[in-house]
Amino acid sequence: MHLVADSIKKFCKAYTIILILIVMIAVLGGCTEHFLSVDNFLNLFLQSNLYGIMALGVGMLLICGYFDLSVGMTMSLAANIVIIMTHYNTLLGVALAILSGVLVGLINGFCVTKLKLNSLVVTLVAEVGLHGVIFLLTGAKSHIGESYGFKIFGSVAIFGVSILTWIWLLLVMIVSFLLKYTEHGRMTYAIGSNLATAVNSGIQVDRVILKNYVICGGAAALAGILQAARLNSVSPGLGWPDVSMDVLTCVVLGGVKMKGGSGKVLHMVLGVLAIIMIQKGINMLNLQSYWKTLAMGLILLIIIISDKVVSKDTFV
Amino acid sequence: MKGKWNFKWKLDGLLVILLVVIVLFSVLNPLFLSMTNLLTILRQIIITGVMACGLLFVIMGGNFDLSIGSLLTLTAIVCAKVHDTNGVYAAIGVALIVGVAVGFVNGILVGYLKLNSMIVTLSVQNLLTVIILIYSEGKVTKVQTDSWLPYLDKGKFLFLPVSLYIYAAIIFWCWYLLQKKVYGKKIRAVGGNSIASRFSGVNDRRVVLQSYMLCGAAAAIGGILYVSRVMSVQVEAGSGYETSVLTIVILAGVRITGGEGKVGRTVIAAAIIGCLNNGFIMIGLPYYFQWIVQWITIILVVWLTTNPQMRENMIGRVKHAFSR
Repeated sequence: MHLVADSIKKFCKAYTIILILIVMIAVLGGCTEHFLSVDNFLNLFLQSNLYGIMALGVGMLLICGYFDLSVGMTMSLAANIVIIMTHYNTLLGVALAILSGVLVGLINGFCVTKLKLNSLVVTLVAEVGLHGVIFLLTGAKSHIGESYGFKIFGSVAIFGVSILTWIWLLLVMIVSFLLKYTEHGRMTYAIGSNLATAVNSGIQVDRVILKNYVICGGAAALAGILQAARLNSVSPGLGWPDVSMDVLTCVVLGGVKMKGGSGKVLHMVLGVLAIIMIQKGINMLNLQSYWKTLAMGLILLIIIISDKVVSKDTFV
Repeated sequence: MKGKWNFKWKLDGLLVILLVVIVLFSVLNPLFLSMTNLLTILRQIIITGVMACGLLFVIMGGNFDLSIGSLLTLTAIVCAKVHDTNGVYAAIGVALIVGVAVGFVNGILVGYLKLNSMIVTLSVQNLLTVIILIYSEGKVTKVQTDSWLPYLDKGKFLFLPVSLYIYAAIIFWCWYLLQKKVYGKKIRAVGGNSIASRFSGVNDRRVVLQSYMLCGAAAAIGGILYVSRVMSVQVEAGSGYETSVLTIVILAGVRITGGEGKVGRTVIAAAIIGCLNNGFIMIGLPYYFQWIVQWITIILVVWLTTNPQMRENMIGRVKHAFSR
């Protein structure tokens, strides 16, 4: 009897996110008319790729125990750069956008690893500062993309599925390979689960964390470029102020512990899908948009409280 | 003293910075030193300064509070609404109660459940935004009935705004609490090392809870002063206040890991940030420039104040390189 109960418990613990998804699909399918259609699900994947790509970077960082709350603005900065650069040279714009993401990652990583500052403080103020940089860059104006090719790129579909979704899936595979089968991935887990052990076993902790920050910034920039391709226009207010917190919520809902050291890429993807499903569901139920904010805040709060209770920390 | 840069974040250092800022801006734009502008700066400083006094307690306890921006909006809206229905005394009372209640919730979550204070207060901020939207129905809340509430900001006593005297009283009370009462010692102990403080008999959970309630009350006073100044509250009124107040507290040399902090420096830091924000606009730079300045200031000052050993090594290396 104990064995059965234990295995059920284990299953629930490991696959909570899948259960949540099933319940949500059932509820939303029952409550709204068009939820259970292929189009809707394709749309869901398309909308998920913004958060999804950012969640990969944030997830990698959170696995090694560090935070990045500046992804929203990194994404926005890249999108703004790319749209402004479509007036001159789109390819150069894409390169610059990626470079900007990498640069933000380097700055954050430098502050965290070399200056030994708290990662939450560093990235929180980076978010505010980057918001200022974006306004400075765009002159506080919205811009529309001029490049025809870039616009078309955003709406290409392969086998009926948007190219943006394919890119996301490709990135998911790359990151899960990176985390599972490479030295870097194993070091990431090692640092997250026990920093002192990782240092003592000769891992160059700083370098791994810096790499993860760069990956995170690059991923956010890529998400921004894809978002820009999808919308073909951008406003300096894009991504302010909720996106970073939403992405963090996705990652945490996907089962990555706040302390670091555990987490699976597939679960993170499911977490993103669940969050987008909630946001879509609120739209489809004709509720006011602030219910989304409420839902996101409550979800994050509930997860971190339950994490604390389940992990049986002594509340020291 | 030889070879050692005995640098300490002191009141006089901050005063020098303030002086440099004032001189710089008054050279760039002579109108900066006009009486009207100085009074404007003073009024801006008072709201952020009061909130900084509250946040000081939380950060000294080793935690953060990022919900104060939304809390300012919420208490301001509550104050404005209750003012029209139940009069000014009820308005101030209810606003303070709301502030302390939100602080209480934060304190329970952070102090008793030991959750990550930044993440918790960020999500509380989200929740407060929703409450604000529901309560105000997304409209601008205006004060319509007449009372002495605007007198708090516009009234003058001995050539200075009345709110300045409120600020002075709060500063004095905070100084008294931190320097002369047991609570100041307790919160230093908790911020310095919460486990050690518990073993020496300090109820660290309750101290953290109290610090959050003080911070909530400070945000509520900020909200009341905001209403008395503007007489109408937008839904987004307080957004951005949390980071500018955080900048002030960090610039004041309060260690973000907790355990150290002085009220006097917070006042000077508030003045510096107020002058910077006003000065940038006076010399024609756009308002969003202050966000970049906040970024740079926080990173720089946190680095200077938290890692004395590393800082000295780094500065020593630079000096060594120059001496050759």
